[in-house]
Amino acid sequence: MSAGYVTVQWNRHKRIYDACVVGGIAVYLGVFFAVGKTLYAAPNAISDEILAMRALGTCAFLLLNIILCIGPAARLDRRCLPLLYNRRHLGVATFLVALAHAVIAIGFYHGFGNVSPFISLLTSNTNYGSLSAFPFQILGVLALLILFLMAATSHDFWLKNLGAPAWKRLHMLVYVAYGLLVMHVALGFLQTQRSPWLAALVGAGVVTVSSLHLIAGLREYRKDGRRTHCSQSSGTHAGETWVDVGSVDDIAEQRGSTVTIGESERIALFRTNGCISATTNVCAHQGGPLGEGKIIDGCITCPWHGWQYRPADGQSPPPFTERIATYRVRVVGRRVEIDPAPLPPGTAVEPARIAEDLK
Amino acid sequence: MTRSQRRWHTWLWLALGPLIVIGLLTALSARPPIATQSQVSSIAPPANGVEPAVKPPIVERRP
Repeated sequence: MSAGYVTVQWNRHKRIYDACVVGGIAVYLGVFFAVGKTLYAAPNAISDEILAMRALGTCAFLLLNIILCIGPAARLDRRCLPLLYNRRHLGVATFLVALAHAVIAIGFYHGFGNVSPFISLLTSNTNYGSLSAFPFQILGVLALLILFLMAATSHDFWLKNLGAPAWKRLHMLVYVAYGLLVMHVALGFLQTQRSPWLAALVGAGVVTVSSLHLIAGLREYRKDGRRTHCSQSSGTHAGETWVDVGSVDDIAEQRGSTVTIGESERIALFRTNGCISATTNVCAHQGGPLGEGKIIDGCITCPWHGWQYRPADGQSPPPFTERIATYRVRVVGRRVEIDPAPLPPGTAVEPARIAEDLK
Repeated sequence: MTRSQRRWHTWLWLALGPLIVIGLLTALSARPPIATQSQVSSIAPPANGVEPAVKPPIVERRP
C-alpha cells in the first residue's frame, strides 16, 4: 500500500498458502516422474530430460489454467476468495515452473550445436506456413516473456507506480499468454502424442476457463442491469436528490451490500454500530468489490486483497493514504436513501444513524 | 472492477474463448496421419540386407 514497500508481505495465511503451492508442485512433479518412468519402461524408455520437460510443462500449463479460473470462481462463490487473495504468489510460481521447462527444453534441443541456443531456437525451424511443423517453441517463448513481465511487475510497488488501470491492463496480457500456450501445446506436444485423452484434457481446460469467465461476466452484466427501483425525492438543499435504495434490514451488521442507480457505478452500503455509510464499490487497489467485503476493526475491508477504508470518510487508516469516493446517506424510517452524486474521495460524511427502536 | 471493465472483460472472453477453441481444433485436425503398418513395412530393409534407395524420414525430436 502507500506506506512503503517490503519485498513480500508475508503473513500466516500467505505462508501456509505458499507452502501448499510449493508442496503441491513438488508432489505433482514427483508423481509425474514416477508414473512416467513406469509407463515408459524399456524398450520404450524416454530420457530423464524429456520426462522432466513434460512434467514441468504440464505443471505450468495446469497452474495457469487454475490461475485463470480463480478470478471468475471468486465472483461466483465467495469461498474461493482466499485463493484470489493469494493469486499473485501462484502466478510467480507458475512463471518459475515454466522457466525451468524452457531452460531444460532449450538446453536439450538447442544446447549442443555450435551456435547460441537462442539463435538456434529462433532459426532452426522456420516452417511458419505449416501447421503440423510450425515452430511452436516460439509461441512458448512469447508466453514465457509475458509471464516474466507479469511476475516482475506483480509487486505493489509497480501497481502504485504504474497506476491501477495501467497495471490491470498490463496483467490482462495473461489471456494472450494463455492463448499462446494452448497453441504451443496443440502445435507441439499434441502433434506427436496422439492419445485422445490428452487432447480432451487440454480442450476441457480451455472450455472450463472460457465458460467460467463468461458465466461470471454475464452474471455481473445482469447484476448491473438490475438497477435499484428508486423513488426519488428532493432534498433540503438545492440540487440534492435522494434515492430510496432499500431497507436497513437488507444489510447485515458489520457487512455491506451494493446498489446500482441508473448507469452509474455500483455504490456500496455498510452497516456498522447502528449506522449506515455509503462509498463507491470500487477499491482503489485493484477495483475489488468493496460492497462484498465486511467491516473489520471498524474499517471497510476489500474482499480481494484486504485493503481498508474508514466508512465515515473513505480514507485508509494511518499510515496509509488511499481514498475512495463517499456518498451522502440518510435513513428515513426503515428506508435507506442515498444522494447518488459521488463526493470527492476522502470526503467525510456523517453516517446515518438507525433509530434505536429499528436496530 | 468498474462497469466498463466488467463489460470489456465479458466481450474479451466472448471473442477469445471461441478463438482459442478454434485454434486448438485446427491444430488437432492438421496432425499428420499415423503411419500404417504397410507404410512402415515399405520402408523397412529388405530381407537381402540391401539398404532402400530412399531413406526413411528423420523423425524430429519433439517434447
